[in-house]
Order: sequence, then structure tokens, then C-alpha cells
Amino acid sequence: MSTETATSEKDQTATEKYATRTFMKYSSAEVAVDAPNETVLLNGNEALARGCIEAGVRVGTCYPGSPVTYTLDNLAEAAKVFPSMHVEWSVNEKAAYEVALGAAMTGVRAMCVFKNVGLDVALDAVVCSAVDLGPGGLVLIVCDDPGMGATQAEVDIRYLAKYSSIPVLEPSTMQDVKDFTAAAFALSEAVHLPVLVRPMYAQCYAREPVILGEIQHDIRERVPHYNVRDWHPPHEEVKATLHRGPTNWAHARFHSEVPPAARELTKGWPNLADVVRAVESFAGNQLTIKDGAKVGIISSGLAYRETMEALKVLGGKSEVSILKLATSYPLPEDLVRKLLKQTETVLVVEEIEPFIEEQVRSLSAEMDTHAKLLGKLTGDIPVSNELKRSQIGPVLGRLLGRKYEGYASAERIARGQEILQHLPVDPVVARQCPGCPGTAAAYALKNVARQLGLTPSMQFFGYDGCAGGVPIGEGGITLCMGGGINLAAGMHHAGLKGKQVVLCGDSNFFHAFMPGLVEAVYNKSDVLLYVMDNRTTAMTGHQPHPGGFGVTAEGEPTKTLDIAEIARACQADFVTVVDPYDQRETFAALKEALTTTGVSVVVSRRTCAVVAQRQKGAKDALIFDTTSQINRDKCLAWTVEMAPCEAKCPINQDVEGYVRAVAEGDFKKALAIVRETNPFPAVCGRVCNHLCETACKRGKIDEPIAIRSLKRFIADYELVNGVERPQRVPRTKQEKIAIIGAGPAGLTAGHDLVKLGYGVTVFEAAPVAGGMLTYGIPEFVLPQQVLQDEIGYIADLGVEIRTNTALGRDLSLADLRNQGYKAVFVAAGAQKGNQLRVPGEDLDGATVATDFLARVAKGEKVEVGRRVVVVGGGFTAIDAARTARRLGASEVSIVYRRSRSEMPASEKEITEAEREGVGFQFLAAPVGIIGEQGRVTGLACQRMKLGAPGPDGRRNPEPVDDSSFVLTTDMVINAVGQSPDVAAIAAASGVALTPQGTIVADNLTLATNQPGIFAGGDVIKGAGTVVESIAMGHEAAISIERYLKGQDLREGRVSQPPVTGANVLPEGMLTSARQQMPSLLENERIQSFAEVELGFSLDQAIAEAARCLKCKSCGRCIDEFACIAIVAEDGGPTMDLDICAGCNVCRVVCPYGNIEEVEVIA
Amino acid sequence: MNRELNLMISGLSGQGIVMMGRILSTALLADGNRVCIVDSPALTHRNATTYTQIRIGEEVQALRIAEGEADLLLALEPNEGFKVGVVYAREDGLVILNDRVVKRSGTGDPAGSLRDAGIKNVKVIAASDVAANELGRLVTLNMVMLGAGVATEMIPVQMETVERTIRKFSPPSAVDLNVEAFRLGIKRFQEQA
Repeated sequence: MSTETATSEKDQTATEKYATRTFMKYSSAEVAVDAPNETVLLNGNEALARGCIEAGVRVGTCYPGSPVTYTLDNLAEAAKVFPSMHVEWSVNEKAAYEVALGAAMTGVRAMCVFKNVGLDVALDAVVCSAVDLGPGGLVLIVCDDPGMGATQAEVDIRYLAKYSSIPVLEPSTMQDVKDFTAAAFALSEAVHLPVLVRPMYAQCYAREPVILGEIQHDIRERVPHYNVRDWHPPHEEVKATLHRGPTNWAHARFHSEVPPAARELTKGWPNLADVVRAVESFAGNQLTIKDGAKVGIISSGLAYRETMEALKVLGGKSEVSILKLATSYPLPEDLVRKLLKQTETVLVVEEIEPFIEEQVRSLSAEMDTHAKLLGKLTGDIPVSNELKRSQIGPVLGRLLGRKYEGYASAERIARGQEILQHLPVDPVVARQCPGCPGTAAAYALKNVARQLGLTPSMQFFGYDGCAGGVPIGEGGITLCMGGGINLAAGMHHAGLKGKQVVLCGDSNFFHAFMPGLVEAVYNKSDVLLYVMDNRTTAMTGHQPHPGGFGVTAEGEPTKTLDIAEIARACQADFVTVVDPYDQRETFAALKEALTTTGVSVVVSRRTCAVVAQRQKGAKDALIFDTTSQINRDKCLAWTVEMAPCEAKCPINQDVEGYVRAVAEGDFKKALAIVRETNPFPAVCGRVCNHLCETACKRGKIDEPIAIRSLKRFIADYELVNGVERPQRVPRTKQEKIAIIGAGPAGLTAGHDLVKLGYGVTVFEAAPVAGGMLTYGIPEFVLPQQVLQDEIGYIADLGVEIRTNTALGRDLSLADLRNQGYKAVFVAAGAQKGNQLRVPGEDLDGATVATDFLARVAKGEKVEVGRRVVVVGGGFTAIDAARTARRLGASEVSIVYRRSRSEMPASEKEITEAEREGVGFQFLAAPVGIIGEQGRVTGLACQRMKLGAPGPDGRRNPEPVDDSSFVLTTDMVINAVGQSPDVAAIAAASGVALTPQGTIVADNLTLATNQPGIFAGGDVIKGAGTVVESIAMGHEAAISIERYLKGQDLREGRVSQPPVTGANVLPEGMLTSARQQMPSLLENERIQSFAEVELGFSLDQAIAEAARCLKCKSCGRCIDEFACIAIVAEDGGPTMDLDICAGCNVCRVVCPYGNIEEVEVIA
Repeated sequence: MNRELNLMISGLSGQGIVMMGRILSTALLADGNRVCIVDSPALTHRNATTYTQIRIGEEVQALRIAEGEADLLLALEPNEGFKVGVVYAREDGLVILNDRVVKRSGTGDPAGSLRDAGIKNVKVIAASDVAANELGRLVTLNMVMLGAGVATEMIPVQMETVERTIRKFSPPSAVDLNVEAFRLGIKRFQEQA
């Protein structure tokens, strides 16, 4: 096993390299320099850290999250210089806050950094402690993220601060960031409350010159002390008045409601009014009153700077009074009142929620002022995203009575943005770094889920903990850190079937998944927890965590906690560690994990590729010193012209295309793909002989894809969910074409020709269109309604269908010529049943299957006796036998002269007939029909044996001597083949006939001996299949167009067989069973002519489609592995060697071995 | 200096945009400028959109450059350069595009599309070629482009100051290579643009 273990010795160097983390961009040792009054360029995180350092902070804690948490990296640098400092990456925000609070309780200064969605995690502790603080200053740095540049929620943290009675400071410039942070500690100590500093996301990534202050070493070196008497009321008398303990007491203190008995204790401790007074004199709050100014601005943070920029552009500095707020909670009330008194309109500009604005409104309501307040509440300032001067400027301009004009014309910007919107989205946005172990781990999961057929019902919860989330596919449910495993448990306990998969990162696991894991084990959930352990907190800057390289924030060695061992200790039912680069191992582990009932934990452990590359010495280093290249001479996407299914299909349907669309759930697109080459989706979805399935490569692994059933699903899906009737195709060509016969060949030709813009009339001898589909296939196999809907679709396109009109009977060729038809396509089918050529065929009760089926189809009352014998081995014989069962015959048997395996009917049809009680007499041939009084009483037969194979490969039947026997029966249905019945047509048109009675036509062009007359379908072949007829319909349309344009009929129509890669099989595929077609129960079937097969359910269709191997486009490396280094080009996948990190996983991902190693010479 | 200068650097994460901005802003400060810079790095992702905004001038208030305000744009990847330029560049500003395409999603002709969008002054240089072929290390692309930017003489900074800053920020083994890349960038801009 090549898995990295968390504690192996070879880690030593890796740990050292990791501990130095020389690649950090957002921290520097300069923050600890003792150089007062020097100007240095600091970024927000450095400035925040510097503020803390100058204030003499002793303990700093953080759980990594948004960019602001780099602040801790900077403090960690300082801790290396000042030994008394303790700086730590905490296991989560609650721990971080409690550690900092504990430190502050001893009288030293402590700080804690949070992302905007981090403070909520600690809120339990924050609320309880915020009014119960000891002598040491405690500062919380919480970064808000308008526009969600770095986090998942645009929340305004100030409401939580107010809720917890914590003052809030909002810095504008980088100098403010440093100075406010330093001052926050003193404020905290003065008001006995934690103080929150609220920088913005953009400030963390900004750099500006900052003048450094002095580092207060003496404060940092304060001697910690803790006396319980400082914290708890010493007298029984006081305790008795407190009822609910110290929190209640302190809260009461804050609101000046301290019980008399405790007043002595709280003497000198400020309440809210004192806090307001303290912030009133806070240096950062600056009121600038301009004489005569009617407009006022109240603003804070970066919004203040945008407002000032807008004011600069407007040239309005002298016309506006400005309150730059440093403290947004509580407000410096006197300053606000002063501004409100001296102005007529006040614009409040702040990031995210109208937090300041609400407080100003509240203050103004208590005052005798008429100043009008504008801001977010009035809709003048947007609530969401980072505020821009282009939003603030026009409002200010309106107040100052002039137009705000930015530097660029709004039209040009709008035009530019318009262009950008229409550019395709780069797939890179949602992908992991090259070499990401998460990409490999996700591929293994997707692969195993697909191969086990779990994809449709499986839910994914959570994400791997990095960037956009590993490419696991659609449907991931994310809530908050640690939420996924409990959500999955909830769904399981609600009764949702199947094992759910929960993804989590490694740092994530320690942060919030451990209680969820215990919950899942204890309460017996059924879940797979898939831990993406890349040994670092990768997304947020590769901070160390308890399961990483055994190193602390300060670079000190520490213990490493193994996630798998924790899971084992939690008694999960299945726990294993895999290396995701080893796909076979990962695949096998996931397979076992997914099939184990209960709680499975799979830890996918492999160092983050970025860290691995850095540990090798450069950010573009190759992880394994080699890279990979796609062999274009072998790659299926580059070489295969047609998938085997497509090549085998007489009309070359893009099977892979529509099956893929089904797998993606886009059934409309799937149907559109089918319709490109097939005007009969619903019909072929039921009765096609599906050569595609015989060619399907999946059949060589287990069972072929149920392509026909998928086609039916697509067609039925539209029927059920509302058919979009097609637009009539505009007629663009003069010529009209006559088509004889409204079967699949004729209607297909008509369909194609109408689409080309010709006028088309289809003449049908029978009363109903459809040919053999109508009169030869029983209702329980192909419901008439389904067929007529599809014919209606073709008619809607503009094909005129005239029924009850036969060439040679109702009209002549001359009639057609006279009516302006320039070409004729004869597709009259083969509807005449062949004779058995045995004595007794004229007896009453002896009938031909085509007649029998046609009479039933027409709704005639057809009497069958108790016993029926059907002669033949094809679909028609099966259909006739099953029809006879439905008409009341209790004993129906089929007599066939060869054995079961030689039957032309498919095994499935035979089985269906058997399920309906049809018996078989194999190796028996009729020799005569026996009758009494002109009625059939029996069929005389002879036993046969199989001899030498004939020209078609099937073994020929030979009679067995002295083996005659008689089957007693009331009816004999002869189903031994059909022939065209075209004597009248031949006479009318002059087309030549073969001795077998079929029309002579060119195999390729379908041209007959008569110019302008073409023939196709069963009329030239004898009984064939539906799809062959459709194919000939297409060919006829091509020939007719060429004929009408005077072009060569043959040119370019013979092509080389396409490259299909039919013999190239993928390796390592799990077998998965083909979906079974649901059907009526046996006892329901023969009660009526209701359709027997019920069609796939949606889940079945998607699961079946997911089995497709995608023999033409393949796309495993691009679509499923989704490595950023493999990009789609027109021909197929291409490796971007500039990006490839050399993880080599793609070589295993390609199941055909077509991604090959490339040695790189350094 | 009289008026402010708004400068943007755009490209892909991993190309060294942040380091470029850091070096340039440090040099600008050393030469007595009032400067503020803000990065828009891609989170974790390699090869995702990244840009940096540098504002220089005594009267600068806001942190970010607004749409249509960038006087100079240095684009390390042309399609990304188009996307940033079409929104941020001034119509009379200068855009310098590196010619090597990494991200394929674009108009197909970034320079032409920028000109069509009203930004007339677009220059294309083969910076990746210098980095990969002349210096043998594509990672020096950022220094080559930094040289090209300084060569425009629009940025109020001394070449020597920039070189000194490059030396300060480079790991010891890469100092000479980075300085050479910077100088070649200046040369290539003077030759090509």
C-alpha cells in the first residue's frame, strides 16, 4: 500500500518544509519589527496583527477561514520573536474563542480571528461571556465579506455583536486597521467587554503604507493571575439576589439594572451609557461640519472611502458635512445628533445591512430634527455586494444638484459587460488544482457509484473543504461545516432509501464532524463519510491542523491525530485509509464502504498537490517527476468515428448522444437527437429489432445497454409530459412527390422530402395509415394511439396522407403525372402471407397470420377455437400466438422446424409468449392440415433434425424418418413469411418484378427500371424490419432529391466502414445488471389487448443510461475525472503540459491505457 | 506627481501576479509615492482569474479602481486581459497583452476585441516566449511583464528601485534570474511595442 501514513518517518523532512511554509503570500516577519514611526507597506492581515502586537497581545487564536485569518500567520511570526506569546490554530471557532477568553480572564491581552461565518460557531460562548469579562483586553477580529468574495454567506456580523453587547470598530484606511485594532484592547479593558474589529474582505488583500507605533512589551509580559473571588459574588447575600448566576448579573450591569446587593461588586464597571461615552471620545470617530452644508454623510469602513472618492469626483467636499464613524456599535450619539441638527439630508453609507442607519433613525426619532435620512432603508444605497462609487456618486450628485460622471462612459462599460456575459464560462472556475488528490478521490467515488448503479438515488452532502468543491457532480447538499452528516442521518431516519455519501475535509473533520460521526454511529445512520484528508487546511492557505504534519501554528512539533483511528474509536462499521492516487485501492475500498450497512468512513489521504509541489522545491514541480500525454492514435475520442451501436444501426442513430442526454436527465435533447434520423421514436422504442444492442460493447462485459427501452422512455416522456407539435415546414420547392404506401419507409421518405421543402402526398390503400405497423403488429405490443401520434407528427410537418387510395386500383400513374407529381416512391410493403404449401390450407379454420392479425387490428370479431396451432418462427408467429391467447384460445402452440436458438423471433419475444402460456413444438414441420366436414381438426407434422449449416449460417432442418404425429387443433395459423402484393402497382407503373414478386430496385439508389420511380422497404426485400424500412425511406428521399435536381444518384453513397473500436474493451469495469422492463403480470395480460411492457421509470432510464461506456466520445478523463490539465479540443482530450502536476492518476483513469507516461528531463 | 495613476495587473492564479504587485507597490513607496494596492486573487484555484489594482496619487481615496479607470493594464494572459480590460481600461489608457493563451474562453482575438470595444491603445508582446525560451523558466513571466510595464515610463518609479525590490523579494537562488527577466521585459517592450 502506497498510502501515506500520518506519522511515518519519511514525513520528517516534509514536516520541516511544511512548518516553514515559505510560500505564504500574506504574512511577513516584518510585523514584529520594533521600529516606531517607520512607514511600511502592510496588508490588512499584517496591519491587524501589528495592531495586536503593538497592544501587547499575549494569546492569539483562530480557526482558518476567510483571508482575514492570515492575521494569525502574522502573529505566529511574532510569536517566534516574543517567546511569551502563544498563537494557535484552534480546532474550531468555539475553541478559539474560549481559549482567548480564558487567557483574557487571567489579565493578559488576547485576540481571536474569525471569518464572517465563524463567529456564529462560537456564539454560544460569546453570548455567555461577553458581559462577564475579566481584566485583560479581548479583541475579536471578524471580517465581513460583501459580495461573498471568499465565503458562502453575505452576513453582517455587527448584528451578532450587538446581540452579544460587544462594541464594533470599523477601520477605513490601513492606518485605521492597525490603530483601531491596537486601541480596541484598551477600549475592551476600559469597558470590561470584548471589542470587535470589523475589516472588510478587500482590506485583507490590500496593501497601504502604515506608520508603525510602539510595541507595548510590558503589557505582553503582564503576570497572569486568576482569583475566583474576582469573578463570583463572595457573599451569600449577593448570591441570593442573583437568581441566575453571574451572566445574568453582568447583563443587568450592562443595562444599569444591577441588583442593589451586587452594586458594590460592579462599582467602576461601565454600563451601556459608559460604553457610549467611551466610543464618543474614540479618536477614529471624526465629525467635520462644513458651514452652511445642508447635506450630511455618515459612513464607515471602505464604504467611507468610496463615498469620499465619489465626493472628490463631484468636487463637493466643501458642501458636505461628514461623520466618519469608527464605532458602529454603539454609536457616538452626540456626534450623530450634532450632524443631524445641522443638516437637512443625511446619507448613510455602510457595507451590507443598514445597521448604522437603523440606529441613526432610532436616534433621530428621539430628536427634534427634520433631517431626512437616506440609505439602504430608502433604497438609495444597495444592500448587497461591495459598494462602489458608481452607485454612491449618483445619489450624492442628486443631493448636490449635479450629475455624477465617472471616468468612463457608462455605455462603454455596459457594452463591455455585455460582451463578457456572452463569453462561454471557463470550466476552470469550478475545478481543483492540477494534481489535486480530491479530484482523484471524487473520480473514484463517481466511478464506483455509477458502476454500482447508485447514481440516481445517492445524495451527496457537504464538500471536500477546498475551493469550489471537488467535481462530484450535481446535487451536492451543503449547509454548514459538519452539517452534512446529520442531514444525511435525518434523511435516513425519515425513510429515504440507500446509503448517502457525506464529503468532508480533514480540518473540517476535526472542526465539526466528530460529534456528527458519533451521532451517526450511536443512532444507527446509514452513511458513508468520505474524508478528503490532504493533510492541510488547503483552501484557506495551507494552515496546519491536528491531522496534518504534526506542527503547530508557531512551527513547533506536536502530535498528529489520525482521522481513521478516531473513526475506529467511534466504532464506525467500516473504516479504511486509501491513497486516492491509487485508484484501484480507492475503488475497492469505496465499493466495500458503500455496500456495508451502517456508518462507513473512508479516509482518502494524500498531501495537497500544491504542498507536495512546494515540498519538491517549486510550485511547478512535478509530483512524480514524470508527466502524462494522451496517445491520439489510440484515444477513442480521437479515433472512433462511430460507436459500434451507431455503426450497426441501419439509420446510424446517434445512440451514444441520446443515451448520454438521458443520463444527464435532458430528455428533450435526447428526443431531438433521436428525431434527427428517426421519425418513429416511440415505434422503434417498442418494436425495433435493435441491432445496436447486439453490437453494444457493454454486452461483452455483462449485458448490453437497453437502448430500445431508453428510446421508448424518451418518446413516452414527451407523450406523458406534453407533446410539442412541430411547425409546418415551409414549402420552398416547386416539385411534388407521390409516395405509395404509408408504412415506415413511405412516411420516412415523405418526412425527409417535406423537410427539404418539397410537396409530398402519401397514398395509402388501407383506411388507416401505418402499413404493417398498423395491421401487422398487435395492440399489446404497439398501441395504435402511439403509432398514430407519430404519424400525426409527420403529417404536421406537412406530409399529406390520403388513405383508401391505391395505385392501380384508385388511380393510375398517368393520374399522378397529370396531378403534377414529378417522382414516385413505391413503398407498399409485403402484406401477403406466404402459403404453407401443404394439403388442407383451404379448410375452414386455416388462416394466414397477416390476415388474422389485420382482421383483429381492424376490430373485426375473430373467432378462435379452444386450441390453436401457429406455424412459423418469426415475430409474426409469436404475435399471432399471443393474439390467439387474448381471443380466448386456451391451448396455443407454435410449431417450428428448427430449434429454439434458430428462431428469428428474439429470445425475449419467445419468453414473453411462454409467460402467456404459449407452448412450443420445436423441430417439427407441418405436412398437412387435417379436417372433418370442411373444418380443421388437426395438424399433421413430422419431426425434424438439424443438418449442415445453410448459406445464412443457420443449420438446415432435415426430416426424421417415420416420425409423423398429429397435433389436435381447432385452428391453424400460418406465419411462414410475407411477400409483396404489388401486381396491380407493377401493372400500373411498369416497374419490373422478381420471380418472388418483389420490385426490382437498385440496392443503393432504390431506382426501378422506370425513370423517376423508386421503390423501397418490404416491397423490394420481402418482409424486413421497421428500421430497415426507415433506412430505405431516407435513401429514397436522397435519390429523389438528386433525381429532381438532375444529379448523379450514386456519387458518394458508398462509404468505408467507420472506425468503431468495437474490439477495444475498457479494463476494470464492474458488472452492472441491465434494468428490467416492467410489464403486466401474467394473469393480467391475456385479459385484454393492453400494452404488456410498461416502460422504464425515470430512475431506471437514468440508471440504465449511466451504464453506457461512451465508446465514441469516451470523455472519462475530461467529463468525469475533470482534471484541469486535460482540456477538450475539437478532436478530443488534450493534455496541457504547462499545468499538469504529474500526479499520473489520469493514466489509471483511462480504462483503455491511452494516457501514457512522458519522462521529463530536468 | 500631478494626477493619479490607476494600474492593473491581470492574469491567472499561479502566474505571480500578487508578487508583481507587491514588488511594484514597494518600489513605488520607496520612490516617495502614495500608493494603495488591492489583490483579487483566486481562492486556492490554480489558473483562475486573478488581478491586482494599484492606485498611485496623493488624492486617492477609494481602495479599488472603478470601471473605465485603469490607465495601464498589464495582462499576463490575453483572454483574461481582454475580460479585465474591456471593463476597467480607460479608453485612452494602455493595455499590454502577453500573447500566450492559457485560458481558451475568449473572443479569439483579445487585442482586436479590445480595440473594437473602444480601447485603442493595445500592445501585444511575446512575454511568455522570453520567459520560457530565452530564460528557460516560464515562472519568470511576471518579471518580464513587470519590465514591460516599467518600460512604458507611465509608472512613477525608477528602474533601479524596482530592481532593488526584486532582489529583496526573490529567494537567493532566483535573484539574478528575476532581475534578468525584468531587464529582458523592458527590452522586449522597447523592441516590440
